[in-house]
Amino acid sequence: MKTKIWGMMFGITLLAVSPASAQVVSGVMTVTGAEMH
Amino acid sequence: MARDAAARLYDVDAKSVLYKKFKISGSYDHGTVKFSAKKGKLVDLDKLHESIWATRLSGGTRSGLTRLDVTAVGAVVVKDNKTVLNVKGSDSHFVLIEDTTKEAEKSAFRKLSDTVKRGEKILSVTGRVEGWKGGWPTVLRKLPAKPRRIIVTSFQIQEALSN
Repeated sequence: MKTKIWGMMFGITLLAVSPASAQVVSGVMTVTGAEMH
Repeated sequence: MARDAAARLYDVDAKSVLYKKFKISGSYDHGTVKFSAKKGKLVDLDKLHESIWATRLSGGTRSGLTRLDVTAVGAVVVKDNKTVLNVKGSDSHFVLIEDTTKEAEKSAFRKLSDTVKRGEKILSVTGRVEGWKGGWPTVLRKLPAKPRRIIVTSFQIQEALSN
């Protein structure tokens, strides 16, 4: 039980310190090559 | 493929995803993949990167990403000599920078800086995301460094909407 609680706390801490990913409303990828079709 | 990789993201409006081929050459061609977030949602660049990675694009095909241009909505502030866009509806941010090679884009950043200094509010910023460039699979091996930096190409002032 204790292990589970520590695991959850560790997970929550990781979430709290992870830098937020940048978010956008739209984008345009310019790509090249046959694999991009 | 990049088009499918963008379209399968939950926050992307699948109907907005549009692949346009430039038709410069017959085989290895350039093109653009446009995408937009669903109404009230935001597209996470880490998830986009992960989704493209999941397509397992191979090397040796002269295939890759030339650039990624994005539009982000939020408030622009100057903090510690850095111009930062705090994304609306999120705790994420972009550092805004100028292109030191292209005069037009340098000018766009300077105009934005002048606008912020005058106290006018910026609605959105468009620009090229630094580090999102390269051939497959090299460009996908690791996430570009954070904080994300946008080389500003244009922006929209909040007051412009009321006109």
